[in-house]
Amino acid sequence: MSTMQADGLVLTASPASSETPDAPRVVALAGKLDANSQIAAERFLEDLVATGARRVVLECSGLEFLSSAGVRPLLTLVKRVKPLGGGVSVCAARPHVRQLLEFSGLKALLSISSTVEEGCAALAR
Amino acid sequence: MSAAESLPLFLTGLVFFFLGLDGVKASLKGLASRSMRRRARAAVSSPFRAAVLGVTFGALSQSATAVSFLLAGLVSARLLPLTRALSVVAWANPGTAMLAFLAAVNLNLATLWLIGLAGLGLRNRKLRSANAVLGAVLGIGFLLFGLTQLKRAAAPVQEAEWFATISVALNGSLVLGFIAGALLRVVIQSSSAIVVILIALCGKGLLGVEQAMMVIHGTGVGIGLSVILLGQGLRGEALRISYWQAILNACSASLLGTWMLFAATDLLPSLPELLARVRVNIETDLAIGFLLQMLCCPLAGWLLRRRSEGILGTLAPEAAEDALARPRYLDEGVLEDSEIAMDLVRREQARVVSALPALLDRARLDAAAATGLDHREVRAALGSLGAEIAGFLADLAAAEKDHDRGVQIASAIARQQALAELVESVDEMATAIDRLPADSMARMLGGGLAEASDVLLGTLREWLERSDSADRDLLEAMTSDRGEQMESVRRNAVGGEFGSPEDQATILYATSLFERTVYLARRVG
Repeated sequence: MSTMQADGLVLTASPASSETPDAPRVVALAGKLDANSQIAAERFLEDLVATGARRVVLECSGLEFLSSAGVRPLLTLVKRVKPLGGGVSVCAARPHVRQLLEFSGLKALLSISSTVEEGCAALAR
Repeated sequence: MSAAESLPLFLTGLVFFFLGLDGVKASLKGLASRSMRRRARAAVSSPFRAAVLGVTFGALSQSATAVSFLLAGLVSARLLPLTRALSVVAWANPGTAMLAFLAAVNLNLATLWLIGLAGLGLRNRKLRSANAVLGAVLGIGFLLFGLTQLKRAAAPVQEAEWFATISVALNGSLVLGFIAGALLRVVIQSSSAIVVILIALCGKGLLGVEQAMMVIHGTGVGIGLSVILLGQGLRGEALRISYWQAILNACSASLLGTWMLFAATDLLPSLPELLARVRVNIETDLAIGFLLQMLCCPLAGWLLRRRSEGILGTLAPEAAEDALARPRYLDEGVLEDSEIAMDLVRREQARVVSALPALLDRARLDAAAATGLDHREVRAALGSLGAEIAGFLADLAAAEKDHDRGVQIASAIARQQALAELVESVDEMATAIDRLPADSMARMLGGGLAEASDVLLGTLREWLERSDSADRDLLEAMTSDRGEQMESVRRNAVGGEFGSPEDQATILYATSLFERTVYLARRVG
């Protein structure tokens, strides 16, 4: 379990499984993902991809605020894992977080679901 | 005229001056086509031409202050490069001195003619194509009219008994004479009017020629103070013009003032002593003294030419909005190679897109992401930059003979048109969202639209900057049709979820503009 805490945002990633390396990695987001925490989040997610993560489920129930600057790390993550055959799923997002993702047209790039299980299932398809 | 009459006249003068200044700036921007710029630059293509233009401007306007602000307008509109404008400003000073003594032109009457004819011209539909020129002329008219009213408001100062009393009190002090000259110039706004008064005082024997000359030298510092005071609203290159005028006049005034002080110790002859050897009359002596001081301005400009950029850059740093208005990549030289030119156009268009988030600042939810730029200035700068790109593409299209390249250029022109519409759409959407009450549900929704637009624009910028196919794929996916999505938002709004009917109407309008923004982002990409 790796954790990053910076500028009002806490990111916690589930450990990689040696038995099922392709299994989705779940990253829990809590706090605010905005212009202040954007760079730290981007680094954390890049490190995650560098360790072999291809399918990433972003568990957003604790994410209180998401801005355009905060969407950038998610887009970068999508750009990194898509060519590797992976994908990104956002689950349990609060209404305004979900709304921003939908308004931004990200629905076409990542799956948006209600639970982690649904997110994992969407990535497995 | 009483003080009660002078004050409204003074305020009216200030209002007309600033109206004129804004009018000149706005109209010159409308005139700033590439061909007009080429003509304007040709007019100052050599130091000699710049000097002739400066003397002419100075002679016609009879005001160093007016010339400074006219030049500031020309530089803001990018009709003249700053370096040449600095030469024009420097040479305008001797121009003002020349006609101030010949008094061949009735400036008041000419100003009224300018305002009358330009104003009527603007009302005439047949002259619509000349609106920018007429607007600039009307602006110059207002600016000069404002200065004339300021001078009229100061007339009681000249007529008052105490003015003569103070002038006589100066008789013992050269330094006080210098300071009085500076202050009088700020109040009266006319060096030539001060010279006329000094001639009268000298003629009556109330003031010595040395003291009168020192008052004249002091007016140089006064010109500088006036330009700085009136130029408070200017920024960047326009402000640099004001400071340059102030520096040149202060330098020439200080140089001649110091000479006069040294001459008082009998170490060297004073200017009046030298002139006395060939004296015609006091009037001519003072006239020559004033002209010499004004001629010292271009001399100071020449001596400071290598340091001007550093000095002015420190005094008036370039505003981000001004830098944005200036093309960074487009250059006449690259017109010869359309392939390179197209690449540079794309980079310039990416600059436009990268500045668009500043228009969203007032509407976004994330205050930390705000650029801190003034959206009105950014919008104006993007208008200027967009016109530059469009003009460049038009020149490129006119010169291109190859069919395939021509098709590419046509596509870039279409993209530029879409980009101009995108700027307008984003700005209008942000304005609409900004009208919604803070912390309301409607405002949160509007903020979400602004944040989403920012995400799209970021991806569009990356695609234009890097030409990476991954960015293009992202952009295509993100800019899919939003009709259904926005229709659902609109249904909720009409259903009463979003506050007052006005707020609901604003949300409906903002969603339409968001849809348009998405569509235009796709077209630009």
